[in-house]
Amino acid sequence: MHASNIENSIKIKKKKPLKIYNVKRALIPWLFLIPGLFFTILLRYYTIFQGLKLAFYKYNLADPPGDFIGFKNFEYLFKNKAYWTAWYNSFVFFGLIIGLNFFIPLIEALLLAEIVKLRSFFSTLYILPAVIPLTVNVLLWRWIYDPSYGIANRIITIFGGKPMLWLSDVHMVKFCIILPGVVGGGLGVLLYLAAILGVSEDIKEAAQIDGCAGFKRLFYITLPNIKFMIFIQLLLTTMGAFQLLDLPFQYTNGGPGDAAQTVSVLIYHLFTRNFDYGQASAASIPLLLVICIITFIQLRLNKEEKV
Amino acid sequence: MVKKTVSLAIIAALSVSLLAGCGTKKVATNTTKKVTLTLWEQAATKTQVQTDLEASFMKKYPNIKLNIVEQADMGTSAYLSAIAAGNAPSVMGGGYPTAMAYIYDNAVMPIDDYIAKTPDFKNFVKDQVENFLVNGKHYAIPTGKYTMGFLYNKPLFTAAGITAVPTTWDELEADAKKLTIPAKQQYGFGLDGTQWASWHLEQFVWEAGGDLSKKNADGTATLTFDDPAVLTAANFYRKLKAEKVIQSNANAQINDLLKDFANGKSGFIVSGLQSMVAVTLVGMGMKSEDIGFFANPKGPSGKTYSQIGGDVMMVTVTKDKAVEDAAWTYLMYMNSHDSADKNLKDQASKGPIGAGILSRTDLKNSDYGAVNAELQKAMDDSNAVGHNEYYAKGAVGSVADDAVAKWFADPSVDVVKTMKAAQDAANAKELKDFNAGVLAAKK
Repeated sequence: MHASNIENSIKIKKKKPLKIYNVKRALIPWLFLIPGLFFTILLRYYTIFQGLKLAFYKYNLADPPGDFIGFKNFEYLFKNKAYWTAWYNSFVFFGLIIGLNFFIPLIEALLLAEIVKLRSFFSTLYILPAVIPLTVNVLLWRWIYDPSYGIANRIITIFGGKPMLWLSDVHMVKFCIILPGVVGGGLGVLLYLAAILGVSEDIKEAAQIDGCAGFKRLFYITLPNIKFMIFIQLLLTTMGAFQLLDLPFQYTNGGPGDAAQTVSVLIYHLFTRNFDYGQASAASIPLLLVICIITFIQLRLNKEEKV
Repeated sequence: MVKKTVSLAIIAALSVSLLAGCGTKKVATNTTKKVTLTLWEQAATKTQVQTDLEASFMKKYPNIKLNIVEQADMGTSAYLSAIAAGNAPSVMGGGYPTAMAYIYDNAVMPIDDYIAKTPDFKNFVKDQVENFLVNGKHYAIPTGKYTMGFLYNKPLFTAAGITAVPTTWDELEADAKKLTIPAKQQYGFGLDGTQWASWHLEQFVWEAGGDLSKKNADGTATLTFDDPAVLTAANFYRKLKAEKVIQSNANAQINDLLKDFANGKSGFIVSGLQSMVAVTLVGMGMKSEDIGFFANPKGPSGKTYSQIGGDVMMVTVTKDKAVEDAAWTYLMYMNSHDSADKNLKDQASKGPIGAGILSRTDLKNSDYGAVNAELQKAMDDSNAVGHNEYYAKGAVGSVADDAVAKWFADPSVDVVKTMKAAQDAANAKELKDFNAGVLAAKK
C-alpha cells in the first residue's frame, strides 16, 4: 500500500514537469505567432472586410460610412464603359507580361546555364536593373521614349525611320510600358538560373548516358525539374499582372486617354481623384475574385499534373 | 410669516444664483473652453508675418491653442484621408476646383450661421463669396481671385517676329506655328488635354458659342457635353495637334507644361493670371521680365470669356461645435483687414506687389507699391469677361476630364460619341446625386 502510494507520487511528480513542458512547448510558438497574426488580421483582413463593407455604401466623409445603397456601386460600375476598358487593358497587360516578362527570362536563364565562362558576369548584368529603384528606371525610360528629345527616336532617325510617339501613342503605350522589364532581365532570370543549376548532376549524367541531349534534355530533364519554379513564377506574375498599378501610373498615369488605365489604376483614381471610396471598393472586389479564380485554376492544373 | 418670507427669499436667492450659475456655465462653454485647432503648414513657405499673426491670435484668444503640424503633402487626397482617419486640419485652403471637390465630398461645413453673426464679412467681395455658393449654402472665405488667361515667353515671341499678342483663335494658331521649331525641341502652345482637361476646354467651348452644362430654373443642372461648340473646340485642339504646334507628349500634365514653359520649350500656355504664377515660374528658373500675360483670344462666336475662380479658406467638418467655432474665429482673424494689410506690406517689402484682385473691398493693391501693369491689364480684361466654371463642374468634372483626355489622346476617337457616353455616365450617377442634393436643399 505504502509502496504503491510512493509509486503513484513518483508518477505524479514525473508527469507534472512533463505536462508543463508540453504546455510550454505548445504555447511558445503561439506566443511568437500572435503578434504577426494580430497585425495580419488588423492590417490585411480587417481592411479587406472594411473594403467589402464600403462597396455597399455611398461613402460620406462627414458621417462615415454614409448611406447603405446595396449593389448600386456595382451597378454603376458595370454600366460604365471606362470600367470595361480598364479590364480590357488589364488583360492586354497580362498577355504582354506573360508573353514577354514571364517566358523571356526563362529563355535567358536556360541560355545562361549553358555557358560556363562569363556566367557570373552576365548574372550580375541581369541583376543590376533589379537593384535600380523602379522610379529611377521609369524616369530613365520616359526620357528614352520622349518624342521630342528621347534617344529612341534619335536611333530610329539615324537608321532612316520615322520618329514615333511611344508613350503618347494609344496603340503602343502598353508595349512601351512592359518592354523595359524584358530588356533588363532582372530577378526572374536569376531565380530560373538558380533552379536550373540546382538540378542534380546525377540526373544530368544519367540522361547523358542514355543519349538524352540538346532539346530532349531541355524538355525531359531541365524543364520538368524546375517546374516548381516556373509554377511559382507563373502564380506571382499572374497576380502582379492583374494588380498592375505602379508601372502604368508612373509612366503615363494610365494615359494617354485611358489607354493604359488598368483596373488597379482605375481603383486608385476612384479613391484619390474622385474620392468615391464606395465605388473604388466595389471595383476592387471583382478584381480580387478574378485573381482568386485564375490562381485556383492554376493550382488545380498543377495538382492534376502531379497526380 | 417672517420665517416663511425669509425661507422664500432664501429659495429665490438660491434659485437666482442657481440660474445665474447655469448661465455662467453656458457662456463659459462657448468662450473659455480650451480648444485645440490643428493647422497644416509647410515651414518652407511660412512667412514671419504668419508666425506673428498666429502668436497674436493665441494671445487674443488664450483658450484656443494652435497645433501646427508640418505637412509635406497638403493635397486633396491627403486631406480627405485625414478626415476619414480623424486627424484632419481644422481649416483648409484651396483653389476653385479643389474647394468644390471638398464641398461636394462634405469635407467642409456650411458657414451661413457664422456669416450672419460676423459684421466684418460684408467687407469681402460679394461675387467671390457667391462663387462658392452650393445648394443655397456658403462654404468659403475668399482669400484671392484669379482669372484665366495666357502666359507667354517674351524673348521667344521677339525671336519669332511676333509683335502683338494674339486676339483670335486664328492668330493663336498662327503664332503657335511661328513659335514651333522642332530642331530646338521648341513648340508653340502648351495645351492641357490630360489632367484637368475640361477646365481649359470650357473656355474654348464658351468662345465657340456653347457650354458644357446649363442651370435649370429649379437650380438643377442639365449636361450639354454634346453641344456643337464642344466639337468646334475639339476640332481646334485636334488641328493644333495635327499641325504639331502643341507638346508632343500626350501625357504631359499641368506641371510638365509649366516646366517646359519655364525652360523656354514652349511659347505660351493657358494659366491662371496671378502674381503667384510668376513667382512659381521664377522658382523654376525663368526670369520674371521674360513672362508676358494676355487675355483669352476671341473664338468663332466673336466673343471671349475667362473662367474666374478664387482661392479660399474653409472650416473642416467636425462633430465638435467648439472646434468649428474656434476655426471660424481663427479664419476671420487671419483674413481680417489688419492681418491682410500686414501680409500685403510684407509682400511689398520683398519686391513689387505684382497684381491681383483682392478679396477685401477695404484694401487696394496700389496702396502697397507698384503693380505689374501688363498683368493687371490682362487680369482686368479677363475679369470683364469673367465666367464661372460650367455649372455642376464640381460634381461631374472628372467624368468630363476623362472624356476630353480620351479624344485628345487618340485622333481616331469620335468626339461626339465619347462626350455623349460621358454625359450618359454622369447622368446616371454624379449628376443624379448633384440634382438630388439641389432639390433636397430646397425642401
